[in-house]
Amino acid sequence: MNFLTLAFPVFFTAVLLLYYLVPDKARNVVLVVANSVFVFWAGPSLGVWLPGAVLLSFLCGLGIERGKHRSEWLVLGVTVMFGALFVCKYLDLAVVGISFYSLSLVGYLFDVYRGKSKAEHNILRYAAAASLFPSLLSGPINRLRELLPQLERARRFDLVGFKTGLWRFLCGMGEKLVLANLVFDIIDPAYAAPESCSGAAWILVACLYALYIYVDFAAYSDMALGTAKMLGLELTENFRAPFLSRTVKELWRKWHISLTSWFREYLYIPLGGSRKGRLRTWGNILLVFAVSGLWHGASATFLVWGLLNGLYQVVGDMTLSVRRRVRRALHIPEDAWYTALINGLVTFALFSVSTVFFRATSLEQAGRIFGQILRFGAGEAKFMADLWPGKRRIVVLTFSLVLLGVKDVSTAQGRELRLPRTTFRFWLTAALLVAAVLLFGRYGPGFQGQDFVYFDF
Amino acid sequence: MKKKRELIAVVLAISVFVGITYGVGRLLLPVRTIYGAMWDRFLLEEEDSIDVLFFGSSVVYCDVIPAVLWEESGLRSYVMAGPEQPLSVTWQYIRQASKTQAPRAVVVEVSGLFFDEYPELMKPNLLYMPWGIERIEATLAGADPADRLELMFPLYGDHDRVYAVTVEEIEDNLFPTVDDYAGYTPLGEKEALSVRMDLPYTCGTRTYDEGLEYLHRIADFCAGRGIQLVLYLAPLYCNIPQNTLDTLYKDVADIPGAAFFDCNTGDWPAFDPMGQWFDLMHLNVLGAEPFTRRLAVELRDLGLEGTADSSELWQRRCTVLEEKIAQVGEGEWLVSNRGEEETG
Repeated sequence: MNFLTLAFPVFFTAVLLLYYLVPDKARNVVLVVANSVFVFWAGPSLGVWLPGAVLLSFLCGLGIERGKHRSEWLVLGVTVMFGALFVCKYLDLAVVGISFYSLSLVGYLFDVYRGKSKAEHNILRYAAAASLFPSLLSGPINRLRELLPQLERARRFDLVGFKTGLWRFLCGMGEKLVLANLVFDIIDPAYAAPESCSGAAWILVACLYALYIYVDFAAYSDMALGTAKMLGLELTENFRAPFLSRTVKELWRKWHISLTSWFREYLYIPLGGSRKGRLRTWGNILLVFAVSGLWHGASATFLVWGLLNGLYQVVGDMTLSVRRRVRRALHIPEDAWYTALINGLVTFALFSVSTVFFRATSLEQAGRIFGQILRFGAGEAKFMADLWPGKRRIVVLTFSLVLLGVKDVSTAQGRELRLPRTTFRFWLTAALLVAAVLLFGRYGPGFQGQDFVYFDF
Repeated sequence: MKKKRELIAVVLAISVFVGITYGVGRLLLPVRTIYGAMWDRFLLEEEDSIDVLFFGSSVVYCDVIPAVLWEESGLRSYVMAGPEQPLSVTWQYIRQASKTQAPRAVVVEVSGLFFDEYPELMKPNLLYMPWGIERIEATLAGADPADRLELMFPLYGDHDRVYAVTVEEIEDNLFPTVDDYAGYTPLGEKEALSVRMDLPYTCGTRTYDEGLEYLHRIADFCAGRGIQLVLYLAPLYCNIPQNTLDTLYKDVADIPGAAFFDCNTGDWPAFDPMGQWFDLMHLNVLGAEPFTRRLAVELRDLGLEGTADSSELWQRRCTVLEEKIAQVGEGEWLVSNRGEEETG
């Protein structure tokens, strides 16, 4: 089961009813039961390790707090969590969600160890937070120190909060089913047969793939955050209009925020962060991005993807003063709209290049793709001819992209999501939105791009 | 007050959503003008204007020509069969069709007793059925559980249609026209047949037992409305095991009030293997014509007489058919449908 299976609305409606009908004290019981049902419905692999991981981290947290053998408890917890993650990744065992909840649980142990949060003594509350179903499969990677207090407070049904969550969920559903899946139709044939297009067509595909990962994962995150919001819970934001960034460093502050902030907090800063000189800082950046790449998958392609993104930032740092001097000499203002546009385009292009490694099945395939990109004039016409019969799709795709652009600009400007004002307008717009998504979306039998990209990690 | 407004808004929104998705979903369905299950066209027939309704699988919509039956007996008939239609679906078809027609006879072909549990080609039977309890029951009883979602929610099953549908198709779905063949699908091609195929039809299977149960329900339904129920086994260029036939004859004889005939016995016409068959199981238009004439005789023997209706519609149906048969005579085969056939 995931957010887009028919079972989910049935399951979630039942959970919502129970959650708000029982007394406040029993809400965590409902959450634990809901988490358990979701876990076993999502697949037996998830159910095998998760309860053990939750129990172990709970006990380790208590052990750390007791004061005796604090380090040993921490080492035990971290070793077992990461050991299980390592085994699953490198033996290619498909344990859904393990990459996400392992980081969340390890983060909790570090927080208790450093005194940033108290150990949770209520197993029920801990289990409800540690295996919270909206974020279980693909994040966001929750900070339990932020989530546990929310589960301690009284939660009453808040209609505005509920509607905000529902609206966000529906928007996420639209982003995935319409935009991401229509883009999938264009990129998938190219990656399945890299020689089928070349030159400008491949550049377009590479850019669209970067867009695809963003929309697909942001859509999932919107649905996760929306689901949690309907339950009265706030999860960590995962994206803040990353493609409106002017540098790769900025992009990474806005991309998969729950992961990058986890690595910053629990790896980059303990390594010394930027406090120990430039060389050490650059080394730390490269190390963190290499680990981040390997977190996505145990293959050379992910390692290169991570390192390349680290390298962009290192080179960006190295050349910062030179670039500033050049701009001053050429009288190009730092804050002009065209400077921002060019920087934004360069950032997006660099990121898109890296995603070729993210998607390629091997370094050899990535090499072949770059070879095809350099072969201008060989396959563009055929690619366009293949695209053209789907002109209605291109119209819908373009319209969806415009909507995404409007949404991202609003996010970048710090404007909050605004709901349709009146009761009738809200529900009617929601109904029309779902109908439009079902009408123009790509899904159902025979469609290959059903799953979210980050389900694989 | 606020809660009430919220509730009304939710109910309204759900209604709008259901209306749009099912309305648009219906408009986007591929237009169906042959191979049975053409409910849009059937519903255009004047209320209570049909004397005999035919149900069953492709052997009905390929073999029975209502225009010929009218010409021969004066009986106004309509074929509401569908590809590989199981008897559970036939039962719901009869209930649904009886909402707008009050036939004097219901004729059911019984090959469905021997079909697979979830026949491959049967989806259109349900996709084109009007929405209602009959469609839901038919889907739950007759469709493969894996297909139920797309049958209950056609947009899901054919989610790409919005990108492929033409304006003409939408127009045809919006404004269907009366079927000149009254549910019959004229097959013009012929296959030269030599060896009869052995059909592995057996009784005692789950499909058979359930089908028999549905035949009993149909019989009760017909008896309750004073409708003559007629069951038959369509002509086939195949061999059916004798023990299967013996059991079938015995079982249908137990169905109260139902007449039965096997069109493969010696007293039925022997169709020309070189020119009157479309394939081993379906007659082409040259075979369907004499078959229907003979069927008219059987129905007349059951006391079913025509109402001497000489309406313009039935005259036109005869003319259209004659033209088609003439085309076949001149070698212009009517429907070249090999490769995408639904003669299941």
